[in-house]
Amino acid sequence: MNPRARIRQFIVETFFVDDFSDEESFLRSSIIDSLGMVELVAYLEKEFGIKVTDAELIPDNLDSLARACAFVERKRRIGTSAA
Amino acid sequence: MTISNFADRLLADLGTRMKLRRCASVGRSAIALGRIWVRGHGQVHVSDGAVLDGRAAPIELFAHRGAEIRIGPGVRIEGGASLEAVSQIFIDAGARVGSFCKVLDNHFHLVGGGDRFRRPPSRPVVVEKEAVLGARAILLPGARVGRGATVPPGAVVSRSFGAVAASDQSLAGATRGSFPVIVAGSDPLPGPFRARIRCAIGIARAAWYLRACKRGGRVFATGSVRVVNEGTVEIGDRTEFIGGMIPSEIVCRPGASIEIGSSSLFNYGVSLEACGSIRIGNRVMLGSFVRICDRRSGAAGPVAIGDDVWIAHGASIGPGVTIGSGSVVAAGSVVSSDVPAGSLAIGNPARCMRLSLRAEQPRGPTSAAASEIDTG
Repeated sequence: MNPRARIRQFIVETFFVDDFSDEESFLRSSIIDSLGMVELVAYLEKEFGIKVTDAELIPDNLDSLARACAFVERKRRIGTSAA
Repeated sequence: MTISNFADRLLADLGTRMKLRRCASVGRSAIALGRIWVRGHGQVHVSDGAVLDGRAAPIELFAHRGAEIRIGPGVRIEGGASLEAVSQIFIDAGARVGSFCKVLDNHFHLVGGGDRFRRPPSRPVVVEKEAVLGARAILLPGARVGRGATVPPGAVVSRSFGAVAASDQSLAGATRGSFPVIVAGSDPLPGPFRARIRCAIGIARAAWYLRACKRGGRVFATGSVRVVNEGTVEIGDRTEFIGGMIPSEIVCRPGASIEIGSSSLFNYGVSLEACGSIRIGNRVMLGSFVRICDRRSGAAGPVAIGDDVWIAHGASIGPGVTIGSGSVVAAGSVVSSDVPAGSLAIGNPARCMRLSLRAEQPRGPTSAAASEIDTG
């Protein structure tokens, strides 16, 4: 399963929402609240083996499925190029 | 049944009626033990066989004007639990609410910018049948604990938790409907004379409890505050201490210092303990059961809290932590590292995120209706 589908599945199962598009803002449409954001970040860290710093906890990185996927891809690329 | 047995039961029942006399309805075999505080102008309904055991610590049932708290049949609530409703809190049959749980359907303050004393819209809280809330669990607005689910002790819930019965008609009906948004302070104020008397009593009370501290003008207290001052404690102008089930506590060890800025607000059960230095800025809000300590086993360091910081219920601030001005610490968080200005610290251990990374408006038809009223 690709990261997008995995993250989508996590959001659907955790936050009990099913109808949201890839570009939809989690915050503006209130799919995820701030406590949920922490859960999402914890999931991304565990599932994809990345380390998210506090400075990266900004809407540009996390505030939609597309952004979260792009962020995970970026982090993994940095991780593999460093290794 | 012997006569004495019967008399005991009659007395216990009378006691229950007496303690729950401010409730809108009380079921036949409900039992209230110890101290039960029923407050506010809203409605509190206690069903058959509910047990409210306030012997260890008082139980607080606070329904604001137009709000409703429903406690289902056979629910057990333990001491120190506090349920505060601005719209609706529903605890369904057979559920258990552990000691020192906090259940809120409103955040009471807006996060970031604007007037912090304006209330955000409420979102009802539902605890379904036979669910168990562990001790010190915190249910935030919009929380919904599924049937038979167990919330671990100290957990914070702000969404659906466990298997939620979406098709349960009785519950679906219970959370529908719109609730008026009440702006804090819109309750009819007591007459100027009574308000002045109340103010004078509050100031006198603060002067008495805080007699060991250096105080600014118009420091106000609506409940008791415990002070152990072996160092220097300075409290700024217009700081307010709110009374509640457990008094706030200020402990200053020899040679230590505590400095509190002006216009700060302390809810009940706040615990400040300084072995070195704790500095709190101006217009800071500390929720109930907030703990700030500058020494823990193996670690020590001064604690500094900037202006306009809001620390929510049950958060704990560890030694050496600096919290930048305008930040918010979420309920139940444990902060062990610095929090930059204008951020939200959340979780255990707390992570800091920019205040922009949070929902502007809560989800759901109820809150949508409420926000319409709010803006209109």
